[in-house]
Amino acid sequence: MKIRLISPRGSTTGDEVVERIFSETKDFQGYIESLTKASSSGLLVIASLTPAEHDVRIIDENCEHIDFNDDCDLVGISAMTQQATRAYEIADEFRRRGRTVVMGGIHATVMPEEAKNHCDSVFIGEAEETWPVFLDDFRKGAMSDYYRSGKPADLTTLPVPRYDLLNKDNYRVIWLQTSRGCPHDCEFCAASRIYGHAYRHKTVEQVIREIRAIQDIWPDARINFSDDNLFVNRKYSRELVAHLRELNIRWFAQTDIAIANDADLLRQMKSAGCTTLLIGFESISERNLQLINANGWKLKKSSTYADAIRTIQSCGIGIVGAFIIGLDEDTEEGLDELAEFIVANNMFMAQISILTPFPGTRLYDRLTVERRILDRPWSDYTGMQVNIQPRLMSVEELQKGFYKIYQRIYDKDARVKTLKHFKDIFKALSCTVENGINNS
Amino acid sequence: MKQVKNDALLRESIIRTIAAIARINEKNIDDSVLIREELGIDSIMSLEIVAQIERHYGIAVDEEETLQIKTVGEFIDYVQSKIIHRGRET
Repeated sequence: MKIRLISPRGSTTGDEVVERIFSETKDFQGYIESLTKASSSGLLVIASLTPAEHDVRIIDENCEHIDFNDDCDLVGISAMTQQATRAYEIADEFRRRGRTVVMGGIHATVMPEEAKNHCDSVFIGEAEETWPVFLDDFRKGAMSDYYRSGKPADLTTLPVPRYDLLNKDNYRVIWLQTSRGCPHDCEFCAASRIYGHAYRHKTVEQVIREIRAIQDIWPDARINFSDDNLFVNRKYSRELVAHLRELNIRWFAQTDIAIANDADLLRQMKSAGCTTLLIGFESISERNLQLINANGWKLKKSSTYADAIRTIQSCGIGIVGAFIIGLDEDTEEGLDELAEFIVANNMFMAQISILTPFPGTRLYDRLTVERRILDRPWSDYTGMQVNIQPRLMSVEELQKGFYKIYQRIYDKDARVKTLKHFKDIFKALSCTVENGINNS
Repeated sequence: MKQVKNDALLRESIIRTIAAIARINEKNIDDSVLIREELGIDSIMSLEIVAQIERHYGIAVDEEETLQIKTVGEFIDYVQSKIIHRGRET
């Protein structure tokens, strides 16, 4: 059977102004490209769960064209919300040609009926258990409309994702997932709807096997850990970091600000190849933080932000600060303060997202009731376009405020300041290179 | 003759530093390779490399200038010119 697994084209930013800012500063911040050129980890897992007798190909539309005349038997499409419009176009095109099309991923999980209008079967939730069941049904010609996962997947039983199916030349940064589930309950988060709040992780041995499989293909690959938070279970993450050191890789991970409380782990991470951490600060406004996080965890941490940033950076690890704007307490002045906070703290990069009401989230439900969701296509759900009516600002003010933050944090003065700051840190850190300069 | 030998040693030393900090096999680094696009070295790693080289050779590198450098060969030439300049100053 010929199976084609497709990741639809996604938008880098969906916005010309931001595109220009990123393009003009890409020598400084290469992070955005690593995000947009990411392989779809879900499809790699699905491919690994497909019996070897089938001819499976992965098509990443961000990197290659889709051949709609391919005489395949089955098309599987996985999409996030911003890819949904394109995913439906692809699905419709293949179905017009008589192909069977199935859809999964986060958007199909939260909007299954909508997805079903464009495909034969929809996967709701994690597909590790349902994909083999579906393949059996498909072979028998008895597919169901929906395949709903009954329980969280046991990550410890998963095979190595099929990195070998990716076109080697298309990727320089490889994403790897070690865990799923996040204990925090943030109003805007869609990932927790598919993965839940219970934290589950692969074994350290599994992760090492995966990294070695990646290194077999990309010997000098940069690894980006895609986990929402790589350091939820400190015992596990310490063990993992100890092994990463032996693998001689450079890596990036996402976590929360509590990592700053563990200077010893930070030093070990640096020595194990960690270059950058993405940290979800979300906001510097206490009133905003009060609203975002049901358990109040982020609010409690907010007073420690500046010290925590300093601690992390002093270990030679850069921070990509993740912030959300357009929150209910945000004002134009508040956005200016945020830009100055980022610059003042020498944050290496920032990921500024406009509050986006992803379907399936508590935020979506609340803003629907408040009639504040604008009528915009899914392709605008990039986090860089305003899709809501902000509470204390106009739509235009929020969009302009968004541009203004990026213009400020990546202006020449701010960039030079950050570069000098990090050079001083690296000069202060002694013996960071064990096999570098000799006595030439 | 001594200058040629010194140039070769400098080149070897810089490549070894890049390889160690960026965790790349030295064999995959040559003069024509693109620092960002091919070696995947971002500005944080660049600064770590620059800091190491500044400290070792006693030179001052302009952070912004290094962002303009595209290839390993250009970087080696840049460091070399800074060392020569330092020599003239002392």
